[in-house]
Amino acid sequence: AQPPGGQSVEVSADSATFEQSAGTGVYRGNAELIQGNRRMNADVIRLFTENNQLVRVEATGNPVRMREGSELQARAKNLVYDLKTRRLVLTGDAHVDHQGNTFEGARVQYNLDSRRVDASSEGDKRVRLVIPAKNTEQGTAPDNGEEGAGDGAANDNATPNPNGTDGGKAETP
Amino acid sequence: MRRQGLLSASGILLLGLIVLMTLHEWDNPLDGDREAFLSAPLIIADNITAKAYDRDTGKVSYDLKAEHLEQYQREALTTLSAPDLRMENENGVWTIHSKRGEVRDNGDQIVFLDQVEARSENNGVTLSTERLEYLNDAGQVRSPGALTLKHRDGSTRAGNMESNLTSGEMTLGKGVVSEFTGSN
Repeated sequence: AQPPGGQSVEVSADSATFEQSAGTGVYRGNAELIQGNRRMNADVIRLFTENNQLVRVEATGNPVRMREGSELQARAKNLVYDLKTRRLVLTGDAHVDHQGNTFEGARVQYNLDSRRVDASSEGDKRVRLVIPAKNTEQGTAPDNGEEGAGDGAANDNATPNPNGTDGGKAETP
Repeated sequence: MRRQGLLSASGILLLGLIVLMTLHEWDNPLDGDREAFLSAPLIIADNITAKAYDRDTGKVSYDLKAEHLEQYQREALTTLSAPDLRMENENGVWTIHSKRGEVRDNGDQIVFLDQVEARSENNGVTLSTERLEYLNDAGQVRSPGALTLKHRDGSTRAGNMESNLTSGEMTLGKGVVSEFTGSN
């Protein structure tokens, strides 16, 4: 069976340490992960396996960088890639450029299937959303924004929470 | 009378000389013979089984089989053909096999050479390399050169490896590339 998420995953680094009992592998030094056209570069990449299958990747770096073709560019201090739910969670100065729109926040979550972006603030780090004029003219129609409700249409116009209070959540409708 | 005295003195001298030469020869055989004697194997054995026991627990720390064994005293070295090692601890069972092997430090270090294959019975990981060193007392296995690991969800290549059998931690260095293709 392919690893969750379809394509095989290649991870490389200067050195690595495996913990047999814990089923974890820590790759250090110029660490890179490649899956299809998805590429992640970090200082440290930590892999977690379940029943001999790779299920979770945790990367740290200054920053961690992730690219998916020309459509997605993301960076943050920490990045967690859950292969089963096919979701990226970026924390620590998270920044996502997706189809020309930019999302910044303390925490940005990106769903690889629905292309949905959730950015949330924390402390004084507020959410920032930049939609270039070109994108607004096209008038992407936001759908109801339930998790996974998207029918795959690009729905990345996030409406920041007006009062921007702590824990305010700018959800993509 | 003088003639007789002279004969007997030279006779004694001659006899003494012969004894001295014989003793000299006895004590220092010819160099060639000596080298041959020292470099010859002290022990030659076939189809051997050797077990090592843990000083503290008394359990078998490893069980070593080999088709052919030669032990050399001067180099404190034992050479093996087709060695097969089995070792077990709380982290599971590892087996190691290769074409040639060497045992040093009174059995504390076993070096596997030439098409080395190691396998973990627990998680099915197999390791292939050209040289693998097993240090019994330190509970370590290391590969100073390139190696390939095959694990159920893929494979990993590295420039060298060190594994602590007690903690179950394995460290790879000199460039590591892993490919996860999914469990098979």
